[in-house]
Amino acid sequence: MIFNEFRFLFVFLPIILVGCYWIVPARYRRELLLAASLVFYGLSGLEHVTALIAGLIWVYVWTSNNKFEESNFRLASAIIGPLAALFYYKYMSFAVETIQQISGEEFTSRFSIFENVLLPAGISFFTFQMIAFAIDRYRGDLPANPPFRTFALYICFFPQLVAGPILRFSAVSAAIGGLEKFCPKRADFDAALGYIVFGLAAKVLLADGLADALGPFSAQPENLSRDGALFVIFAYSFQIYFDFYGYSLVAIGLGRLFGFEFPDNFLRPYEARNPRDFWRRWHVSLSYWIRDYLYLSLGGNRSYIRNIIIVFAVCGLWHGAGWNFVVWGLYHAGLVAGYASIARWWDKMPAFQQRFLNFVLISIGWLLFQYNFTDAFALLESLARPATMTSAGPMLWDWGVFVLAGVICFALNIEKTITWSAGLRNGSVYYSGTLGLVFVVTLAFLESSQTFIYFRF
Amino acid sequence: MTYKWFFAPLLAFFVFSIWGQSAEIPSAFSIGGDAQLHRLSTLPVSAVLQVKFSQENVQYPMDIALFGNSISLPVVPSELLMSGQNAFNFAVPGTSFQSSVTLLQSLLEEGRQIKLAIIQVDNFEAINVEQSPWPRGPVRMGLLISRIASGLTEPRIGPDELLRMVWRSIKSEAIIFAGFFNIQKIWAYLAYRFPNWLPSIPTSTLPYSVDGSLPRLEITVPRTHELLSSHGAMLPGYFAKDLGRVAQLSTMVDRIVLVEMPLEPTSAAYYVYNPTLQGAQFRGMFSRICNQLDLECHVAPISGDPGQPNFWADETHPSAQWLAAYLRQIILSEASRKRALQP
Repeated sequence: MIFNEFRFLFVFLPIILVGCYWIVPARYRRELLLAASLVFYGLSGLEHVTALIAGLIWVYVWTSNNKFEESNFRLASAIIGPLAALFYYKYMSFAVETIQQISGEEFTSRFSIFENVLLPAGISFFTFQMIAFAIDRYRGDLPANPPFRTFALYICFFPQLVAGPILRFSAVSAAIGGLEKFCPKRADFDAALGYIVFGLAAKVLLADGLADALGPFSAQPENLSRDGALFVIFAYSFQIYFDFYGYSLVAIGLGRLFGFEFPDNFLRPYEARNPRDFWRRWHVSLSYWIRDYLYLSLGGNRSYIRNIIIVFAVCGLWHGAGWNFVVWGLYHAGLVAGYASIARWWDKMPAFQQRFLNFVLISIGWLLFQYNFTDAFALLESLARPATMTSAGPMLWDWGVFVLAGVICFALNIEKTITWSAGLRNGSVYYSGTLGLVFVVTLAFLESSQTFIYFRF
Repeated sequence: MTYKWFFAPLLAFFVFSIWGQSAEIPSAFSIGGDAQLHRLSTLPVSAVLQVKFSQENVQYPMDIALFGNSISLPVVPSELLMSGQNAFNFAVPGTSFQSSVTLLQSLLEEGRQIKLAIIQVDNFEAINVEQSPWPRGPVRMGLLISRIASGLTEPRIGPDELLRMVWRSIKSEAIIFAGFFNIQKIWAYLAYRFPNWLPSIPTSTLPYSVDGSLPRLEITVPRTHELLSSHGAMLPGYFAKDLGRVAQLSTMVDRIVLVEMPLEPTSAAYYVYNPTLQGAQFRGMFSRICNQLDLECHVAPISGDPGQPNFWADETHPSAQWLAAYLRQIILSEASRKRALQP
């Protein structure tokens, strides 16, 4: 199930809200939300929900040991289970393909059973969350395991199960513990509605609108006019942003309905002045995870270049099983390391110039998200050569969607608008009406909405 | 936040959408407008059923009426005729046997006379199991309630089948309800009703013909096909009930012919050697009930070679010309009537 479909908005969510606050006794809210989360996930496949539950039990059993903090072996055992599942579902066919290419040996038939393995939605997200829990236990940040249902809800809670934010247990333990006594106030509903409506609009109207506009051009990177190639680069940049940002807003809104205060996962990333700043603003929870559990473990700034290369290569691989993703990660490692070496010169540029240059560099990087190497180079070639009669270029309508996305990306601060609306009294008529109008327009396009891009990860 | 102002646009949009989709829609076949015939394929199934039901373009009594879904839709009805006869293709894409029977029943109850009704039955290996989205509003609700009631009273409909039917109906109604918020559907309706004012949604299909058929680009190079990969889960009790409805209608029509659609040769040949329980059970039930009710029913040929070279669009959609010839052969063959009941 996904957020941008009718059965979630008008069947699943209302049932859970009514069940949580009117039908089920407050002391069973955790169980209700856990069951609802498993149903939410299970509707996409029983095998996947079984793998999730197996992972939960595995990590919980290993981390329950009283001497867990003293044992590297137990830590390794705890995280090997979810990592093995992640490898099986996400990386096995990539690994086989790579070994085959290196060895030149054909052994596809021996591994043909892996060809039809379906990637469980969000496996990279909940695997990282399980690993975070195990490492926190090992480091002593969590003195003891919480009850299983609490741990399970922390991993499986449906608003953040399939695309984050990737949270530490300490960030939500109070909310889970306080579920029994939580009574949503008017302000919670107001804020939740704002986040959900704006999040859905960002996904359905902007991200999917851009996807529709991009469709004919993305499919033929070798036959684009120059403006067509530029359109693909920058429109996709906005598409992926609004796709993931929209998801995160909805997740925050849904969390508020149940007393969870999820941190913002996007801090206006395209306004970043440099690549390092970008990673403090884009998918913040992943950046923190990588910093806390990988970068610092490798020694942090002591071997800066080496560690930056390693963490960004892992970051790329986390996003997708393919060399294009690894190279995308290394490209960002190059940007961050490059910036570190020219920071003095870069920071002297006017702020607008820094932002623009950074946005261009980030957008070029997204090409490796969209395409394999051949198509990415084909698109760059289209950018360099003069257009022919058959080259495809965007129409006025396509540019219209693009400009609208750009204006909203840079000029509208949605989180501030939601916070600002909380203080409104008489003026709230306009805000409420606008929100209602945005919701109506979003619903009108909901049926043709596509799956979130980050579900693949 | 003022919730009444939040919900006001939602309510206004809903009311506008109901107005746009519920009002009487003119029949493209009656008025023969090219623009509307082209826009017809953008309308949802229930609207196309309504348009075909309400068309006044052909004379009654009608010699031949063809009912079915996308399989029968491209068949040009004049290819089924003897000279001097009139005919109309009532097939609507995406529908199932239940919709065909409901449409025929509604026409007859309106007093339209039909001499020969040909009703397509999907191949029992590839059943389309949609719940009828037509007629609209309260009438459909009434039919749905009577269908649920019959599930409670008729012994051949078990509780599990009743529950499955109810669940499918809930899903079907939810989809229809969601359609009231779908901008494409609303736009399709408005563009159909006001063809001179609004541009239509681009569609790759050709326009409908005035005889009710929708031409399909025919395959010109022989090709092979994958085997069928999924089966519809048919509800046997309700299927039997619909056959009973056909039997009741047979007193109002000179001749009703039920034809199970053939499968593409590769798939058909596969099922000859690997018969499925579903196919065997339903085909047997179909033949048995047809015999009991004295209905003229034709099961699909089992030779696995219903047409060479292979110009099928996919596993279930034959060339329109081939299907027309197949149906013509059935309706002209008096002798086939008894023989056809042997599965």
